[in-house]
Amino acid sequence: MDAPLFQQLVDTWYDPLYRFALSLARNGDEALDLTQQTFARWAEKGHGMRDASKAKSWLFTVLYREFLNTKRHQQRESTSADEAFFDDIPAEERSVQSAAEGQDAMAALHQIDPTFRAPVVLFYLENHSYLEIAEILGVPIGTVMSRISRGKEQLRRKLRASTAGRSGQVIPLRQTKEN
Amino acid sequence: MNNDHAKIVLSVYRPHGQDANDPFFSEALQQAKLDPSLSAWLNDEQRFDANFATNLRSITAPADAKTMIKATMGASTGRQRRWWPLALAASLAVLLTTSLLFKFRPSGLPLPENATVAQLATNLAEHHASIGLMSGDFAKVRQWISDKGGPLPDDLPPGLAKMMVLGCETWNTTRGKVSLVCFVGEGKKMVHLYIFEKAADHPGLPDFAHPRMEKEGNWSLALWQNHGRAYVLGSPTDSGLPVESFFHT
Repeated sequence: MDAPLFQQLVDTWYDPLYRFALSLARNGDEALDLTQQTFARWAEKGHGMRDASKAKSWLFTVLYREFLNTKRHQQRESTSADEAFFDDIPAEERSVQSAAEGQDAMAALHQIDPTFRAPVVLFYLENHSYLEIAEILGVPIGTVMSRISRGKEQLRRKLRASTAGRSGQVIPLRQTKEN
Repeated sequence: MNNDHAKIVLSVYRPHGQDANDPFFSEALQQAKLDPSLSAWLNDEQRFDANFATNLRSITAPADAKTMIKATMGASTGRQRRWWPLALAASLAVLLTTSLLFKFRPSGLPLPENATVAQLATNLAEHHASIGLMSGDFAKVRQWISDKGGPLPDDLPPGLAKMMVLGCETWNTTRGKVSLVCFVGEGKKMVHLYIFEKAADHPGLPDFAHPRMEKEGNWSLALWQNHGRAYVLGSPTDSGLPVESFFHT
């Protein structure tokens, strides 16, 4: 695996991996750590991969496993791990994430059941297929469907509640052109 | 396929047509064409999905860290390794070993040699995610499994009767033939029933009336044997759907 390919992989997957990490982690720093660890793993072990087209699944799988390992480690060290997300993030750090819609979307994702979060985020990020999501998370397709379906329902409820909570504000979801 | 079933399937149908030719979705899409309420639901779902994905994409990661990754880690991947002598030696070793062992090894999807039936089921659940047929029709599911030569489910726990069949799969593995039937119930919670063709290969399983409850990794399982087949009913431990509840009448 050569250096230009590594550069290309970082260019292509850095942002999507960071978004996935941000949806899983407790704050932006942790998300950045996870993203960096994932590329470090690639630099260390990705050489062995002959089929570059599988790099996407490999990277997301590694990031998810890194997250689970980190979470297990944190749970061992502290039982008071806080799932709250945006409460932890200082205002200046939030400004790194450019769009308000993106922040609303991420905040809503952090309010849904953690079990549903990873499959839902993978579904929305870079359009992973149900098969890729099953592979990345190591769960059967039926479970992927169930979790995405239930997760999306929760997400809609959270977004509706958040919209209703802001009197006089516009709805958080940007309207895109319909075909 | 009814609308509830179709909605679960279509919840993983991506909004920009990437899955349009995937047969996995064809029955559900056909149902949406015929049913105006399902069609309206699908349009709304697709619009929501497209909007939400756009909003998520507006989050950008810190650019300085990206530059640092490319500058520092990229250098280490550029080092040329003398890989070919190792690769040649490894290829020869593999060739030799394969030629010696090939005819003695069972064929099919490789599963761990000494794993218990519970471990085999969770291995399939976690590493071999596929559904060969999506259908809510149990008769169709049975027929499909039969056509593929997979072990068929017979007596089922009473609680499964209240659930909807979602689909099925069969595998020819190194530990024999295995079938999977997925069921979905209230709150779209899912359980997976694995049927192994030879109960004799998994000694010690209790009979259908007295299933054994186990935890294996992230799965809560019920195991039993019936009419020469071994059964494993599995549900993720975090799903809030205890498998023992399926055996209560």
